[in-house]
Amino acid sequence: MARLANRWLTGMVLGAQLAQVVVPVFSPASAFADEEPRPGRGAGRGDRPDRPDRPDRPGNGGNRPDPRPDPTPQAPTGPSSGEIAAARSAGRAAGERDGEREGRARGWTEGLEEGRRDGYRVGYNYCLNERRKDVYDRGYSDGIRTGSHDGQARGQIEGYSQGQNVGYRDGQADGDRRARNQASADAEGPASEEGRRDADATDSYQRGEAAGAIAGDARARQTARDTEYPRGREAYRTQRLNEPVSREVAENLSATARSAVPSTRTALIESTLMEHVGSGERMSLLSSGNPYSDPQLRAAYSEGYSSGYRSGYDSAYRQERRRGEMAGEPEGRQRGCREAQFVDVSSDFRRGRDEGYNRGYRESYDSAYRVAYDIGYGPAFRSASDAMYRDRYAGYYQDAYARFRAEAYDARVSQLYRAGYAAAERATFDRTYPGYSAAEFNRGVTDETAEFAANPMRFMDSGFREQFEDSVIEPGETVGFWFRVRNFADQELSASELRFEVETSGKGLLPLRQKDAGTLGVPGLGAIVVSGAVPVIVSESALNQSVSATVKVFYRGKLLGSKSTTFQVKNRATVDFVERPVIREGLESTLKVRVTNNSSQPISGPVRLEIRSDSRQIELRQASAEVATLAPGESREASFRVVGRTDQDSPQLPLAISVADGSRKRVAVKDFSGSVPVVNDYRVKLLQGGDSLKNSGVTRLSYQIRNVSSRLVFGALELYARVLDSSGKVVPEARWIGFNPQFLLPLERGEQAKFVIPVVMPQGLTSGMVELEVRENGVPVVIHQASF
Amino acid sequence: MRLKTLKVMAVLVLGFGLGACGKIPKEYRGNFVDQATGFQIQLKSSEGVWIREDGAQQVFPARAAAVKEMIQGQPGIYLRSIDDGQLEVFWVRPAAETRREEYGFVSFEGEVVYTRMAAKSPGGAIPVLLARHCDRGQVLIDTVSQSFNGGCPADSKVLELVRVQPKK
Repeated sequence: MARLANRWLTGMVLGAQLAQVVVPVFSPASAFADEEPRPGRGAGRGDRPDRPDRPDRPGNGGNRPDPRPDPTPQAPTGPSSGEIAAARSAGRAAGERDGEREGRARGWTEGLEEGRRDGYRVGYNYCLNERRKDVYDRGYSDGIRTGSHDGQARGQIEGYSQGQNVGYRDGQADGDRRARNQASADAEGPASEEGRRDADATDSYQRGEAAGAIAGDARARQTARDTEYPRGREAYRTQRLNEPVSREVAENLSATARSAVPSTRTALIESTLMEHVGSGERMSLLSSGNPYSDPQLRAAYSEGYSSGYRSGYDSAYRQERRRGEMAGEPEGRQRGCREAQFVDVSSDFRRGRDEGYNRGYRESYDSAYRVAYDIGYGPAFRSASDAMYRDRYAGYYQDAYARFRAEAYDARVSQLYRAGYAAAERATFDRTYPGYSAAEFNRGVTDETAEFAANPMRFMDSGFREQFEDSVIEPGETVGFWFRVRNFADQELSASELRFEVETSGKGLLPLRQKDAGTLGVPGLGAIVVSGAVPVIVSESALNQSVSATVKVFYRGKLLGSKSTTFQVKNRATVDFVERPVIREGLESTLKVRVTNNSSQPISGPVRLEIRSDSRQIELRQASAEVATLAPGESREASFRVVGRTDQDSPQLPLAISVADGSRKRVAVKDFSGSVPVVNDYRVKLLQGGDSLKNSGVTRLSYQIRNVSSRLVFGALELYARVLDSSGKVVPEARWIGFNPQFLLPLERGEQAKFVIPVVMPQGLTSGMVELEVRENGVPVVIHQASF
Repeated sequence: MRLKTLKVMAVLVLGFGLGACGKIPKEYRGNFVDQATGFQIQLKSSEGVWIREDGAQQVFPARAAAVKEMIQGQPGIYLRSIDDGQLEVFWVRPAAETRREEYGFVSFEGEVVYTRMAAKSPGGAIPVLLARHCDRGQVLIDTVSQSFNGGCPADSKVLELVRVQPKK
């Protein structure tokens, strides 16, 4: 590629040089001044004086120089076709001759030059590279040698030195470590022995014994205090409590109780070739003559000449050029090579030398360093280690000896102390405990005796009693608490100094006013049971919750005792839906409930059930029901009739059901707030038009109807529309356009349709309701209401 | 969502391609008779014929749901596309004397036969056709919205029209 480019560049240079030679000859003032204009030549372009024409260059075809002599005008009678062919042939032969000559001459010359240039370049480059490589190699070898030498020397020096330093340092550390370990091993035995021996000579055991005796005595005393004293008190208390009650009185205080994401190469060759051919044609043109005077024959001759010239030129040029190149190339190569010998390649020598030096140095240095390092390291290590060992051993030995001795001493002393301590402590405890035990028991009895004497009034128990004794604590029920107190004095004590409280948790229990004392005296060695003292009322917020209360009893301001009680608050009865409630829009549906008596007492009849809701999406047609008396555990069912008033599929409805017994006392309640399915087979929705009903005139009521679940095939649908006033009465003045009832095309299950019901509203009706009843095969399936 | 949209478009194209041009689907063409009442119908591509028990016949042209003709009280088979590739066939013979027009609404009574046809039935000829038939059916047309309601009362009948070979 580079060679082609070179040829092209060379061609361009030669072309330019030839142009400079040929241009004066081509100028109109010289060469063409006495020639007639040639056919086919562009006037404008042919007048260019400064450049020879280029026959075959692309885009310049019309201006291609014609190598033929210009024709001379002839008589009108033309030659025969044979004569013309002969003229063309003769022209072609002459052209080929001339072209071949010209091509050969130019091809050889140019080829020779090209070959020389190429050869020069090749030779030059080759030889120069060879020289440079050779010089580089020599430099490299020289560098290697020098570098190796220097590296080795330096590596030896530095390796040895560094080895020594490191060896010394490591040796010292090693010696220190050996000295310390050896000293420790050597010292441990004798030091420990000495330590134990010295410890044995102390009074550690005796000191332990003394301390143990003290501790044993203290433990015996404390143990007796913790166990025997309470036992003594308990024994006395039990004795007293087990004494029979001489007399027990009861007092009920409830009476007062109250309540929360073209071949360029070919083009270049052609271009270069044509540049040369163009010049050659001009030259041939000057030397060739057209032998014919007849215009046609001249033209044929010229045509043949032109064709032959080009053919001859091309063939000869290429061949000779190639030959010239081959002939010139060796010469050029030799010359180039010679020239290369004079190039300064000292830098390559230096480069090789430097690189060789670096490599030689590095490799030699490394190996020499390692060897020298080892040589320096070993002796230094050993020497330093030994020296350090010698220096440090004695000191380490002394330190280790002292440490081991102390440790052994301390351990032995401790061992002796603990042995003495444990034995003495245990022995002392065993010896002294019985005495302490008896003394503490007696003290407990004595103290309890005194306590009873000082506080003869004792809390015994407490409890509660329902207002309605049915084993169910209900909201609203009053619970009365009681407690029992004994008097352990011989004489009667006044109950007026008794005080009692009921503490309640949360807001579920509401204590009524407390009555602090009874009026009766507590008999000597007797007891009193006080009931109804502090009544509490169970609030509604406590329903279905656990609540607790604590009864505390005081005597003369001192707490005698307390007791907590927890109970579950619930109604006597429960009421719930028998099945999930569902409603139908516009149509009645039944809500079934079941009421169960959970108490131990009958619930008197008639038991009345009532359902309430403040939602406008449901109309309660029958909101109450009654069942007979409910025996304990018995259940009965009742039902309510309701009508849905919503176009929602599953509205949220609040419902409350209460149950009262025959005395109108509520015994059960259920609050329900949840989604209630609307189960009509068809659902209707008023899309628009409702607001216009307030105005008189025509109103289009646009509805949508959907078959939700009817499986009937082609069920006949009828629409009955009504306008109701605010009191629910049909407004007869409202007139329906078309039909009423209106029939509607059947809908299959899941389908929906829209329809319009036109109505003419009367004047003066500003509020009311429009009702649309849908019947399928005559049966109402949904009644939709919309207020206006 | 896209699938649903395509489905709806397909139904619409199918509906307009068949029902909208007022042609009875070929699977439904032929003679049918209700054994209980003797009421017969003949269905052709663009017309239908009622044949009563006494042999009286009446021919009805099949139309796309052209409210214009319906407003004029013209008898005919009105075809209307609905969802799921079905055609509503609203076959009506108006009682001219009952025709009323007020407030943009036109209403009349008449004999009605209502049935449904699948716009395309892969199973071939349909053997049985169910239809709701009444003598006193209704049609209510909203000339503003160009829509209509219509139907039969509760006492109307459901015909079980069984395909029969035509008499030679």
